[in-house]
Amino acid sequence: MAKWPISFRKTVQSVWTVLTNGYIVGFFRGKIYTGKLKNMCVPGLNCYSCPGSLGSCPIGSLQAVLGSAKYKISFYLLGFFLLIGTLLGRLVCGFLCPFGLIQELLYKIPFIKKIRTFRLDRPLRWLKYGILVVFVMLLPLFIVDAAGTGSPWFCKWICPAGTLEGGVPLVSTNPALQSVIGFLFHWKLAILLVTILLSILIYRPFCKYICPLGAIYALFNKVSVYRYHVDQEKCTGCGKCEKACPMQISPVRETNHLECIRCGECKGGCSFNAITSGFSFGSKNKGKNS
Amino acid sequence: MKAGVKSSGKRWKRSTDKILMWQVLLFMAGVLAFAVGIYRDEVRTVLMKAIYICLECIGIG
Repeated sequence: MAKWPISFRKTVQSVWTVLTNGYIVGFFRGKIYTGKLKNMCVPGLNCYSCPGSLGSCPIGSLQAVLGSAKYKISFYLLGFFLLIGTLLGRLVCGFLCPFGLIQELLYKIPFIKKIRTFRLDRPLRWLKYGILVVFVMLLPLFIVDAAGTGSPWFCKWICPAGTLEGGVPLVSTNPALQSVIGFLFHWKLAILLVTILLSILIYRPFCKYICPLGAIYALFNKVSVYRYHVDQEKCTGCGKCEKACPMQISPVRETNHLECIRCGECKGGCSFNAITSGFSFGSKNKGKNS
Repeated sequence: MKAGVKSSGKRWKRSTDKILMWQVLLFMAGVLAFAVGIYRDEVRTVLMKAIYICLECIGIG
């Protein structure tokens, strides 16, 4: 039997991206889906102004509720993050995020030299937590207009996913929008171009350094029900898993690390089947890495 | 030697119990918060934002 040409993870990522952006007619009409499905958030970063989007972006929704005059805390989004985070952790980043898939595909473009790590790599990983607190929470909450409404600061000034999934397709098909583009659109387009170029050089740079949604799910990685396990009796300490990890962590020393997106590359790299993953209540890891 | 294995086993059980406790606690808190959010009609705010083109998100205004 012929082997399926793409990996299981890539298949899930692709199917999920198509399913959650299935309003194809929106791309031709330059309009977005306005049905009731948008009551619900999708787990990954997926702009709700993407013409195909059938669900809401959790980061956009969080800013919308925090920035509204009516609410100053969002229990709905808090509950959503607690449920998804506790069950899946950053499995969402590895399997259910369309913008993650786009970056991975860009990284497949051949280039003279790919950058695995650099001097400020590790410290820069903390930047996403700062962006989460300042741009997603504090600024929409406290910088408000006369009506008491705050802007979605992250979406407005940073998010390249919104430009790629929403801005570019809508502006290119909607003449009314074309007539009002200005500095902000060019600024966001520049951020998108930088993100695209960096994604060719570095594996998922937006996820590593910028994504506030990844920062939220990372907080659950240590306790999420879906988790990785290292069998200390099978592990020989050869370091192959560390070399295979595209997020540059050590699956043996740092099992279920904040940066682990559960991509499974380490499992494939291990010749001794010492690394396994699955849904488990409590920890199966017996030893120092539990 | 036996004592060492026994104490390591105890440590592992304690860590397993702790993770399980966090999983149950966070999941229950999630269900509760989600329900409170629906009760407070936050869903309407999410829907209202999502069904109109978000001009900030696409870089217009």
